[in-house]
Amino acid sequence: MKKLHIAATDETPEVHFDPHDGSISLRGTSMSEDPMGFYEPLESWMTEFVESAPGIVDAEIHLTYFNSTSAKRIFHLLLQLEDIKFSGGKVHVVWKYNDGDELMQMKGEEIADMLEIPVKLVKAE
Amino acid sequence: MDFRLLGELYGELHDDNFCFFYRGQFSDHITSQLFNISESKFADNKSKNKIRKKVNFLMVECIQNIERHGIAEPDHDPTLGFFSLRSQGDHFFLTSCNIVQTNIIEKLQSNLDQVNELDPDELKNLYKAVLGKGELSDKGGAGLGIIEMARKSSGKLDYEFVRINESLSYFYLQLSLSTERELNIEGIPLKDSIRYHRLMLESDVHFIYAGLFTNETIKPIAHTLEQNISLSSNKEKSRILFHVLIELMQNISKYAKTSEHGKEGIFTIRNADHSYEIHSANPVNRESMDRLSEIIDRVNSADMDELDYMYRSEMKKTNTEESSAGLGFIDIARTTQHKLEYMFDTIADERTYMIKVSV
Repeated sequence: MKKLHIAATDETPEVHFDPHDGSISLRGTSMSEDPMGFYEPLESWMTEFVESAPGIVDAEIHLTYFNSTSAKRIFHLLLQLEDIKFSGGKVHVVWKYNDGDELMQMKGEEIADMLEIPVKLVKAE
Repeated sequence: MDFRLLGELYGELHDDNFCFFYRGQFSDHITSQLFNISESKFADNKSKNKIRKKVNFLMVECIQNIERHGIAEPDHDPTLGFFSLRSQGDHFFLTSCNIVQTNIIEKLQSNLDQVNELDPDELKNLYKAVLGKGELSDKGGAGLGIIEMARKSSGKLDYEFVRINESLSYFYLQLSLSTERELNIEGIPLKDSIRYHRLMLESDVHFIYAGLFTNETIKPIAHTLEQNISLSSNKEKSRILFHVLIELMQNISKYAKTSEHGKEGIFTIRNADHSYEIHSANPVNRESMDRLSEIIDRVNSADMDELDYMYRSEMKKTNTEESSAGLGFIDIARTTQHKLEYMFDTIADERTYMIKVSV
């Protein structure tokens, strides 16, 4: 499986998915009006990754803004990680938000509450 | 601002290719975002490169004029001004307004009249002369600014002074530009812009935009307003406002009825007591009308716990497109903790949907 690296734009986040060390990260903004085009390849990558039954996965999400349609795509991406836990792997998700950004903190708490894998909320320095 | 006024404004402005009106502080950041709104309008049309450069140039001159010559009074922030850009057919109209001291009006007026008398060659010579000597104005080159505006625009500089009190007046300046080599453009009278400025002052409106809603336009508008709000209010409110702005504008660009140009609508923001009100309107077709009413009524009848439940179940659905508008409205209602007000009306022969959100 290949690494997936996509540079950030004004409206899509930086993507860094590494199947070898199990690190997954999304950083930046996600406010595309139609985020499907962006998230579809990410979800396909994730399906293949999950099928390879990785042992340890560290995911880090650090977003400064995302719109409601992106929220759904990000949630579904993280939802895929639950299968790793069910197949015996270990998954850690860190949800970073900027200091004082209550909106992104609240969104993180919500998503954490909806997932069955541990999500640690961390204030970014 | 209410739906009646919003409808009237949209009726008047919907024929413009696009227009925006901004009232407030002019920081460098806001200026560059206003710039981006205007830029986004030329993004797909290279043949308009020449006029684009002129519009940009004049925009900068107008805004610098507001920044440099607005005067500091206890009740009047020197950087509080007004700027509007309207595009109709092949023409562009730029209007700026700032507050000046009454005792400089006579001098300013004579400078403007002098510049208006001159033909292009004479303007060029005057420009060179002033560049050398720095006459006409003793305050950082207003003279040069005015001469440059006259050289780069089509036709005369249109101006007016409107008295505020004994010592202060509003100074309005309007420039016209055309892609055609026309000298005298029949267009928007300056008194129209004055009327819009007054309307914005009276109802505390900061921003009006009408025209196409595309991704390229939405971002700079949201950033302009986020910046404007964060200058005067708490950071958290400006974050929520930014979110609501993006959701509402993306709704227009997705769900408005497509006209021959694309997805069009109008959008305004006003400062109410400790809150902000966003109004938008756009044409819709019959099916969208029924769907919008159904979704918004459902969201409005839910309490916070029910909204929370609705949000979670929408998030968990695997479908990709269908429910996204619903998710947007649920999210707006949850983050703002306000009911969404909406109505349908016929504006310019089109079935139009109007919504108001308070933040």
